[in-house]
Amino acid sequence: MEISKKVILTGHFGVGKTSLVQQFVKQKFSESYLTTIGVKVDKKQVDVDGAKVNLILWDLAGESSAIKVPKSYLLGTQGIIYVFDVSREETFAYLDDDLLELKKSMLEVPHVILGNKSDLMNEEDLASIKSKVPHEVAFTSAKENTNVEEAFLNLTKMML
Amino acid sequence: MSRGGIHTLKEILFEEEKEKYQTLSTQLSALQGQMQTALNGRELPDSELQQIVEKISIIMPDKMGPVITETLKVQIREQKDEVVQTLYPIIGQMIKKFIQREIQVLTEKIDYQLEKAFSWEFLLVRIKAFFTGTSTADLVLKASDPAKIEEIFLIEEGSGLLLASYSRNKTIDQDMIAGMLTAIRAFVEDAFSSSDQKLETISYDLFKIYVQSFGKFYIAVVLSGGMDTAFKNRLDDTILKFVKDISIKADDEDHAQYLKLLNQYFNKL
Repeated sequence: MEISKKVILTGHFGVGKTSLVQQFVKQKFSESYLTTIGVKVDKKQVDVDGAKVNLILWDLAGESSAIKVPKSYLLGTQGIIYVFDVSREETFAYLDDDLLELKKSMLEVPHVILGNKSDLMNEEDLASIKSKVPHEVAFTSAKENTNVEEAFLNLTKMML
Repeated sequence: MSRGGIHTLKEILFEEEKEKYQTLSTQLSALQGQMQTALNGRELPDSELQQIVEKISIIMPDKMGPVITETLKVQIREQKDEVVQTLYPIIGQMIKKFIQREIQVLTEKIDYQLEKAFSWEFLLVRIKAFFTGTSTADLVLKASDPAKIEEIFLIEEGSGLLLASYSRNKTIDQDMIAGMLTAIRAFVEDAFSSSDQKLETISYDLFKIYVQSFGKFYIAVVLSGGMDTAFKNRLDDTILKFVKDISIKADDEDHAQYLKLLNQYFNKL
């Protein structure tokens, strides 16, 4: 039996949400930046512990704060992927506030926090960022396809 | 009037034109003189002229092509109104021809329908028009291109997750369509700040998406052709009967029963 789960990707603009989805769904990466207008829905079926799960990925347009994300897009969400850009501190400086805002609308919804564009930083810088962020963070690179599939599968397991 | 009189009259009427003609003749003679000097009294043979023309035709596209393209771009950008004015008669004619052709096709269809005007079929149409309140013309028109259900989606409200779907020809992923439809509805509600008013129809190309909400879920029917009042009433009735029979449970992951009901009800339409 197949089951479907709605997952939203949120975070500031230009952090690489769409690139992560493209890499995960189509194994593609594009250098050109096209801003997402509103929302783009994609789908990928994954096999986790023998269960076929259809991940319906809502790639939301980037906003400077989670307050600005339209609440109607969050309805029925079963998983959240919060993405920030490791090379731009302003994209994770208010991560706590953003998560609190999202949790207001979606209590108990599993989430993962991804520090994307890890290819732009060295190990030392990444360790420094990890110490600054008071949450569990997974570093990804949509460009080099590092840790992308693992991040989505990790969230899927949390949702089951 | 005598021949001399006509001559005098011509002299008076075309005085200005005569002067212009004389000036042009002088300029042309001067130009011929300059050319002769440049060619040193030699006349170009036809073969040489042919060679020059061929050379020009080879060089021209490479040398002048980009310049002409750029010039055209600039002209179009800077003189939109003039370009529109120039192109309008050509494009306008094309559109006019297309519309005329389409009207002709439609007319032929209506003629065919009207040929049956004294048949039992047409009598039935008139009776139907009388009882349903739809005009006879509307019914005849709709009969030439009847509404057809292309796809039906049963979608969970809010999450946009697909509960069941029927498709005449599966082209795009149904789950993605369900998600995007929900996102469009959410966008409209947010944009117009009206959560109590829902989007009812979306039109695109030759298709129409008819949407009906029922609390926990909504139904989207993709239709092609012309939807008349009678078909809409029948569709509404079927949707209501379907909704009466279905009970959507939260966290229900077995959607087979929804699909069975969807086929059972909408196959009749």
